[in-house]
Amino acid sequence: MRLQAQDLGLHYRRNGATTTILADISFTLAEGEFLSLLGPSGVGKTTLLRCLAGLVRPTRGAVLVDGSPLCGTLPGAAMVFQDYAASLFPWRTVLGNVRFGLEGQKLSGPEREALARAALTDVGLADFAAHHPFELSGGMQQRVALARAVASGARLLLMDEPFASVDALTRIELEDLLLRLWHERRASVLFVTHDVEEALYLSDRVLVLGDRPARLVGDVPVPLPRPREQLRTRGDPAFAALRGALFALLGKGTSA
Amino acid sequence: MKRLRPFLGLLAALLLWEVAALTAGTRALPTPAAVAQALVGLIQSATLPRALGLTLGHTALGLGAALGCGIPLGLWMGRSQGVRTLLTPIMELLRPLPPPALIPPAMLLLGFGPGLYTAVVGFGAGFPLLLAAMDASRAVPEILCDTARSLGAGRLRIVTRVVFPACLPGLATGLRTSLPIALIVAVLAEMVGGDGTGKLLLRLQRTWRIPEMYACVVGLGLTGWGLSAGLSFLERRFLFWAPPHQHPAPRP
Amino acid sequence: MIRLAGRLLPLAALLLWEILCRRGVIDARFLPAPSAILACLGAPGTAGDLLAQTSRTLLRTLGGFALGGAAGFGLGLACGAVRSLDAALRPLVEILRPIPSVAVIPVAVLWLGLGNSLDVVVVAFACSWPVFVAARDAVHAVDPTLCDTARLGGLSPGRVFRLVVLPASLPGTITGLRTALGIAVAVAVSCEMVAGSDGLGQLALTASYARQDPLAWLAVLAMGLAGGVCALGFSLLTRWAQRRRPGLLEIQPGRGRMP
Repeated sequence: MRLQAQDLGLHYRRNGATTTILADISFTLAEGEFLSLLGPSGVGKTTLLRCLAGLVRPTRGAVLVDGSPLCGTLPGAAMVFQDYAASLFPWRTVLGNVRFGLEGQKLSGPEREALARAALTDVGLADFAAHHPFELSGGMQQRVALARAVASGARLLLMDEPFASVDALTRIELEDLLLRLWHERRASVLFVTHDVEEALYLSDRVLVLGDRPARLVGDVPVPLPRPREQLRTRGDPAFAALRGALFALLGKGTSA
Repeated sequence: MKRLRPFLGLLAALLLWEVAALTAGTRALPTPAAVAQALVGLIQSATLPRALGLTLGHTALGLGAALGCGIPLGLWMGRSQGVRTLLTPIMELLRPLPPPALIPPAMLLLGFGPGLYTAVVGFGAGFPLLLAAMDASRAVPEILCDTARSLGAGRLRIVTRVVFPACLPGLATGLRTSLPIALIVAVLAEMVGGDGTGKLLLRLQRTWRIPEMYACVVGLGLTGWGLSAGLSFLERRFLFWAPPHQHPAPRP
Repeated sequence: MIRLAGRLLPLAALLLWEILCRRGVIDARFLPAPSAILACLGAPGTAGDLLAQTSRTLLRTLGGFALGGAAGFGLGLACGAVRSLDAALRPLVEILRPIPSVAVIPVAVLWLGLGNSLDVVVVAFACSWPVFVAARDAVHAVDPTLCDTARLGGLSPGRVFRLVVLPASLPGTITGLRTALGIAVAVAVSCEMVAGSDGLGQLALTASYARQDPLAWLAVLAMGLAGGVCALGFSLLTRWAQRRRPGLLEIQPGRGRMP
């Protein structure tokens, strides 16, 4: 699906003072594209994501889905949060969690079961279907969240710093898992992060958000060859150049 | 040695009781043996089981009303700021009212019967349940609802499949408070004019059947303990996934 | 807007009650109108009688609360601080605690006979449990980091207890005291209903038996007010204490067990 943000703005009033969180944000996410939203913590990336997901209504501008304005929550989209432990339903098994996204759809029980198990196998957790979230490690829990998003058949994945809370080694595994799932399922991905290298490694394009109120200060294409590979891609000289450019946009350090 | 310690404490208490009873020598304090004998007698004559059964029935009536009214209302108040603002003043007015205070009006309006127990026990047990439901549904992490919404769940599914299960641990805590209250209010209502264990207790006291009276108290204590233990069992069985229950549950 | 509606709701309910009584929808024999209840209050002697009974009930409530609260607090602290004492007393506690407080009334009648001491003792018995459990658990829940910091600073165990554990366990204990106060009112009224000769509980009951409905409702109202006054008094007290010592109740319980 094609997602478009048109002059998005969000502000709220409290005790007479107006605080603007987002201002004049416009961009397009093409079908099947992997787009990263890069910016420092607290700038409003999560708010922007929630606007696009339809969980929050912008006070200015509009979100367009395949050309028509969005009302309600974005259909065919799934959100993956940073706090994976809190986003999994603790009373359901792993399989039950993955099945949740399918329960609103007109499928039979066995069909749902099969789709859920397939998604679990995709993320490598087929053996843990009967476990409960609290029995799994952080990385595994995040994989369950990914499986749940993927199983629901979402055409768009909205991901809010999903790998920020896992250790570096697990993060590498999860990044590659995400790329593989994206490649197989051909969904679009909107990936929020504060990690420049992660954004470069994963995306086709990186949008840079600047200081409060959040504005788009840069739209950087990432023409690095696919499929990406941890050592090769990160060792590519173009990677370093792009990293410098992004840091400059973020206002940290000098450009390469 | 360590495992025997709780039983040693029990034994010491029983010994203390025996000594006190023998030295006091008054009818008001029978020996543990006499009480045990009386207990057996009451059970054999089916007096105590029947009375306890009635009491449990009255408790159940009230608890049913409390669960049926208190929980949905509490959940609703937790989710909706508007309803909460609307109903909080009237709730705060009713809150300090001690449950026993409802017995005389209920007597006037309903007479003695299942209606009275349902109303009075229901009120007593209902408030803690309502508050627990309200707190629990307010505390449901928004991230769970956001996840459900982003996966396409409508409002009904969010309430039944996400909010309600997420509230269960909080509801269990509320029930843990409500159960003893329900039992106490039921026994009190029985004492005032009904039947069941409350009436039996008073009757035994007034007819100076002291060991049986103590036996009755023991029976009530065991009932209270049993209800608590039952709740703990249910919690361990069904709520093992909630954070505090991932470790062995505390004693009932 | 909703807030105003919420505040007006009780008044609206009362108005509805009055209207329904006047229209005859509610049979006044079963449920007197609010105006009739108020009229009863205005009748000679009623207000004075009501006040006298209320003060008796309150005295028993507060007396029992003070006694039970102190006992529960002391014992709870002791069990919280001394593990072996806690372990030794636990079976006894677990046996006595589930006994419904009203079931203790006939036993107390036997030992103490009817009178004020009966009510105070039974109320104290009922109050001591929540305070005991709250104090004991609060001491157990004191963050070991706090204690370690104090011990490393050179304080003796006694001073650590007094200066660190006691303040840190205060919020939990106060919660227990608040619960106990609510219980105190209810138990005092229960005692009066079952084994009392005066007090609000007895008044409400005798008025009901004598079909003096408005008087019975007044007694019920007074019981609610007594409960409310106690709760209000308690929260005013805690708020005053917080003003005197800011941060008194801000301490969060930790997750560890006291060393």
